[in-house]
Amino acid sequence: MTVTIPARPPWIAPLVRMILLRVAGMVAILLIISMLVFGLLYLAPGDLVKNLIGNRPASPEVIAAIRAQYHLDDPLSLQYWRWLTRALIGDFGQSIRMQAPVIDVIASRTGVTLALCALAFALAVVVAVPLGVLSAVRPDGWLDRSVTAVSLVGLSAPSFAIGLLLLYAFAYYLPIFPVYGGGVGPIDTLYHLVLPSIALALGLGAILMRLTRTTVLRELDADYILFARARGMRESRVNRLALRNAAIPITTSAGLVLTYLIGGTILVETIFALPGLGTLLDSSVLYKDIGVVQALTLMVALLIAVITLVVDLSYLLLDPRVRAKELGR
Amino acid sequence: MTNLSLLGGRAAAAGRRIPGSLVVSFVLIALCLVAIALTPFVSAGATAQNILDGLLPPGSPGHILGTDELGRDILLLTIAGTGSALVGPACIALGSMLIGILFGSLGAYHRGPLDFVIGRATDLLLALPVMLLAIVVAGIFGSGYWITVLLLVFLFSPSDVRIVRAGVLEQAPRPYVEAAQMLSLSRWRIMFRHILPNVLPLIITNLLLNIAIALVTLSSLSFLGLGVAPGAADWGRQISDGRSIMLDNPAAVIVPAILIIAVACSINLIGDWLGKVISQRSDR
Amino acid sequence: MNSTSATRRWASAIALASGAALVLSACSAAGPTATSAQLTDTGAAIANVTVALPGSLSNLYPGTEAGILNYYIASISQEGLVSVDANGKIQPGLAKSWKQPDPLTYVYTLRSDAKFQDGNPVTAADVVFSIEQAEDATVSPGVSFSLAGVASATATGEHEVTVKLTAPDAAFITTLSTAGALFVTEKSFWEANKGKVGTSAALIMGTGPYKVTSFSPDSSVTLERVNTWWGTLPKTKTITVKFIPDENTRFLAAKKGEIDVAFNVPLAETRQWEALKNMRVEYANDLSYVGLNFDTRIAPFDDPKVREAIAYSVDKAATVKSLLRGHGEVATAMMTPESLSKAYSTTEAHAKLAAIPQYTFDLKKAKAAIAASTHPSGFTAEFVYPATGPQLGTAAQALAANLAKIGITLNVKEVPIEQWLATIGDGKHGVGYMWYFSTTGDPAEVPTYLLGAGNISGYSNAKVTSLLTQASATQDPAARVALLIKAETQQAKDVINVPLWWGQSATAFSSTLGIKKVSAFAFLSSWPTTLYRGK
Repeated sequence: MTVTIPARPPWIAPLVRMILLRVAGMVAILLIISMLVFGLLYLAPGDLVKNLIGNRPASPEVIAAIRAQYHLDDPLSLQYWRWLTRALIGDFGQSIRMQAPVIDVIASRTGVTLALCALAFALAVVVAVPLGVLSAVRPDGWLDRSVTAVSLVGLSAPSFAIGLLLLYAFAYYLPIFPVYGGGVGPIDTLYHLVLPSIALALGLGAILMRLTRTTVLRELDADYILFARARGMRESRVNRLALRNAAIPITTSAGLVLTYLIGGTILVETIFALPGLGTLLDSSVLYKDIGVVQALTLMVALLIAVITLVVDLSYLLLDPRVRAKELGR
Repeated sequence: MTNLSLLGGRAAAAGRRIPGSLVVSFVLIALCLVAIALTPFVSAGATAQNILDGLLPPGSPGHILGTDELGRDILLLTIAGTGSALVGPACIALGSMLIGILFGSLGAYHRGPLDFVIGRATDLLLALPVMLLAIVVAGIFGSGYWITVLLLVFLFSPSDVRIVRAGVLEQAPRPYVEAAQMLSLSRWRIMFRHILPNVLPLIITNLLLNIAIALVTLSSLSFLGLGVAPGAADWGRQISDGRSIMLDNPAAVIVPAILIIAVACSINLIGDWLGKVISQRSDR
Repeated sequence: MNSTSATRRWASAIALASGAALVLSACSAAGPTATSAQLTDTGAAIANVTVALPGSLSNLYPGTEAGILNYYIASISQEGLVSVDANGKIQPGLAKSWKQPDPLTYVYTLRSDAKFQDGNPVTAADVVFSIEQAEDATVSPGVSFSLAGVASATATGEHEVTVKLTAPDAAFITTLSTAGALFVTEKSFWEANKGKVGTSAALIMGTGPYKVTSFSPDSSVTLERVNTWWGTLPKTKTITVKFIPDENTRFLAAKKGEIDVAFNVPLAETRQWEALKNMRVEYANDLSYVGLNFDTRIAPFDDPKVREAIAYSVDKAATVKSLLRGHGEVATAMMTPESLSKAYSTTEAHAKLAAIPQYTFDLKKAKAAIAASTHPSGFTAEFVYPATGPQLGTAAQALAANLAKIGITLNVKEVPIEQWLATIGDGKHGVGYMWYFSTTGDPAEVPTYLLGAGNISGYSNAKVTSLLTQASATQDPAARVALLIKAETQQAKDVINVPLWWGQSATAFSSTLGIKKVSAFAFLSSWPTTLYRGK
């Protein structure tokens, strides 16, 4: 049989090789993290049996029964092996704290956190990047001054302080948004997520805006821009050229910011009483609820690994110089 | 400040005159340094309790900012807390940036397996849950200020590595690097004498940015009980201890809270200005 | 017992707050704090009551998670064989009557009109099954300890259950209530949902006046009035329980009028709540005990003189007055005065307990004691307290300042409540807090835990052990109390536990919502039936 193979750009094969290598690295990282977290949680202070019994008298028989139930007396390696062999076939076990399957526990919380992060990230990017570019194009204009001032405070005030400020403002003076809890149904959920996502987006937006501004400013000061201007290139084209080159650091930081989001949700979820993954991870770590902690950290790690891979790939797509260097050899 | 005379070009127009906000920032940081110098003289008074007199509102005789539940003077406590607010964050930012410069430039310039390993190591650090690490570290080594600082150096470093790497990567294909390579200069020389100065604005801005972030993070951890011990002079700790006495002595919370935000703002402003000055000088 | 969830730790951090806004709210004139007595019952129906809890529940079955908040919520939908009323008296529950033919045997006669919330009648087999589940440490780790003395539970008739004990236990009667360890559930429901009972997937089946209609951990529980309950239907149709871990958020939700009842308002923040015009705060002793506990196996706390020196260094009166703002009482014993209510009036109880040897704050005596000890020049020790108890933290710092004067360095450390639990009796901490919430209100509960066999102090005193055994076998309340006081006197001489204070809890109510009586026991049995719309 004859198949016409379309002509492929010469960089496809190295690209595929690079992606495969990264995926292999990702699997190794997940394995290392699962071991690390398992070991760390084992070493961490606290006692699962005490958490189950509470501050109550307990006979040695009761303690022994509970330790046997959760295999706490097995050596660490055996406990890990048992977890790993089950996890590999998709069985993440029971949450000891909730007495429910780990998958169910996580599934019921994922929606809120995902929506919160997506909304906050979208908000941060949509607002911060254009503002950063605009302030860089006209440095020290009124827009630049006010945006820089706002971003300065956004950056310097802890996110929970912003959240609480919003809470007070919207509880006292402008009671149009709900101050706590998740909603019922997609529209109501979105409505409930307005304040939390603003609180989460403000700090991120400030970082993103500043990085965008610094990067674009630097590009605009670069020699090639001077040449372009000297050759009489139109200002809009000059700006486009600078933006294209500024895109790499902006994408990297946007990716990094996205990973910061995942950690930042814990505080915001707690302030706004949202049943999300952040609060789940926090309480599971403290309870030593190993099944939930393992599944969640691996999920987060996988997410972060995928994000960094996508960020790195976008380098290649955005910058021919990097592409040449990365895949040329 | 001599750099100012070197300024020129479009962006420099703004730098010719030092804006008022920058002056205020410098004054605030200078005041903080004075406060740190005063610490040995106030720390005994700051931790002295007087539980019977208890809580006094701001403006009480002998206590301008009042006292907390244990009868400790808020003003002295705040002054004594300046050190932990600034020294730790500076160490965190410097330490993590050193790691960042070392591994970021190594990875970006050498590429290949080394870069791959460094990249995955930063991925690993970034992917670890901060909470878990903070709790475990506090549990195993005991919670303490310097342990938390050390932990934050490690947690801050992956993003520094990535930022430096991105900066270097972006410089690497530029003509001046190729020219240097053609002159057969050593890799280290090219890296430290040619590429890094061009990444310096990015590094300085990030360094100062990191001090501000570290200040906020460290004080957050302090009032989570993962930093300094309860009762120690520390702004974050003061805020967490003081929020329950908001009604009786609001100064106990508001003063350290405003100080954290103001100092963080000042550091950011100075960082911006410094980044600008350096980038203009290196352009010359 | 986890009185609040782990998230409270973050909560306290977050509440750091935008200070200025808080001050604004605080400056408004303090509203009148009415008590229920001033409200008149309008008799009107109440469509919904929103209850705000300071932390989340993980599971609806208290056997799985036995925090004080779990008890509050479980007692809305669940019942035991008996119940405890607001005065601490035992009342009929699912059993309309009971008798005790001999000290080891209890025979309960069940109501014939009791039904589960799905309409099925409650059978003796269901009750026996529920007791068996509560006894099983792997199924009910949170409550099984209190049923350890049960030899057998059998259905001895269509409406009769007989429980036999291995040894006489005067406190047993409360154990089979929702204030103790029994939450009667349907056998067929439990077996159909094995391993999932109390989760959001399976919920829980009880006999109480409300059934749980939804549960989402970290968010909410909703309950709906049913007509299967044997008692008079309550006025409130639905109850929504919201988990709001951050205290500022909870306060603001109350300010917006979104909350009708808020449990366990932190004592330090009660003034702020009292200033709200739409809420009132009621205080009640909460049967909690706070004290210092020594581990006699760990040097230097194996030396009674060292323990004595520390006992003399605590300024209990100043702590209660300044740090608890008077919402509590200096404890003279491990038993709370309320737990003596079966035998004595409050005044009598206070007098009885005050007669136990006390260590009143006296640094001179403390210095003398440390000088006479094996460590005359002092030592250094670590002292941890749970982050959910900020008042414990300030008290610890005050203690540390006093101890510094006699040469002892106490390193005070704050840890999450889970880690604090793990330090109790861990063989590493020689001195620590004991913070205990009693639900049964039985006088022997705390002494048995802290002095009985296998206690956390490694304290073995044959005299005390024998007194506790006798107390357990004695039915007469006054005689029991006398034995327990003897045991407390003995331990006070040995300085094993130093009682600090008996706690109070603050509950905030909407100013139009009345409750018949707020007391230590008020929220441990079908409490929504006592709510009314007031004016």
